[in-house]
Amino acid sequence: MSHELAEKTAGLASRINNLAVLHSGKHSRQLLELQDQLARLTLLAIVRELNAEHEAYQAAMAGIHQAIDLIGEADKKIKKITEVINVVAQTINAIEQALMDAAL
Amino acid sequence: MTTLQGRSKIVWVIFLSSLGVLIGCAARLPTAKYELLQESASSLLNNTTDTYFRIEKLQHRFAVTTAPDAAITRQSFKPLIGGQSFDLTPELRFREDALEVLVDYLQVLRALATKDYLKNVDKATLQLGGSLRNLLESSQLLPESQETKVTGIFAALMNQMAREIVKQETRTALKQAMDLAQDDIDKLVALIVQSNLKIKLTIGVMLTPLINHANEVRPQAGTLPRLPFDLEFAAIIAEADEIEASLDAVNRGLEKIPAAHKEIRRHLDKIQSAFDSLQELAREARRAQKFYRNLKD
Repeated sequence: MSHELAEKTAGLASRINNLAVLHSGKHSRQLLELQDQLARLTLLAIVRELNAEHEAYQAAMAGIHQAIDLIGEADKKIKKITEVINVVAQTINAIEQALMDAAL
Repeated sequence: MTTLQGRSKIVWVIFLSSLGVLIGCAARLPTAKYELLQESASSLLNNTTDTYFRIEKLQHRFAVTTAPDAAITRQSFKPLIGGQSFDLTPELRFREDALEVLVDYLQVLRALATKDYLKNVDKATLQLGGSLRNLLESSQLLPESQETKVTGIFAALMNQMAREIVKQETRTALKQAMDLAQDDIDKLVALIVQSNLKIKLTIGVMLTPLINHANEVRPQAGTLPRLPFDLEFAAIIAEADEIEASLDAVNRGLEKIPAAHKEIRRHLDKIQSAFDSLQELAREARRAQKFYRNLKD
């Protein structure tokens, strides 16, 4: 059982929040939508008991780490913001999958 | 002679009254302490019920505010993501039911310590049985791992209550009940305290997106709608702060219950105690009553 997924998802949501503040227009809107989804997934991860050994869980964790590496500290505007948005959207799918498959 | 007889009578009267007081003390049960323990736990339960209700309200606001930008359907504002529910309500009910079991158990002890205990214990035991059934039912709405945590809670105690305990002298009955219950109290308290820590995390997770959305639609400075908007949102933030503080306060109180229970149990064996945990518990329970009173409902 692990709540690391919830913590990491919350961490990613927080970085996306910072990025949304730094960007404007369409990108800001898209980032806020991603943040909403990440917040919902964090809540789901908090209420679920999860098997951290499950491959879907590990895939989701790997996705989160990849997204966080790409974003960095989220303390300045990012040139490849479209790439970030795509990677985070894929990560969201992986987290959703983990929450479904790795639930105890 | 008359004076001597009079004096000896007085001495006897004093001796007998002192003996009476001593016998009374030896046999006297710490009724007030049982009352304080049960009332404090009951206060924590009231605060918990209020707090959980406010969390459900915050969750509703969060679900509506962060609903996907799509045509409204019956599912739009439900706490769902990818068809999976993140509804905290069943989790909250389960914790509330666990605390209710604890309060009802303490009521059984309180009843056992009263003069009219046969009648009172019967009622209190029935109530405890009911709250145990509620707990089991609410655990069945959660993953199996949660159900396992509460299966068998107070089973030994209930079994004994139904048969033997009440037939015995009150002090012995109390000792037996408290010994049978101590491990389950530890378990229940740990379960609720851990859950409250987990539940506390959800407040920040819900609040950040609410703030972002508020910033998106906040009326311009200097316009008439700005003040009511800000006032309403300030109340949401203040309530979230109170919820977090209240969960901490309830946990501080709850953590004292197992030790306070042990203190009273030791007292039954005439072991001296300063009742530090009981006092701490009462203090936290009183403090917990004061949350939310400055908030506009």
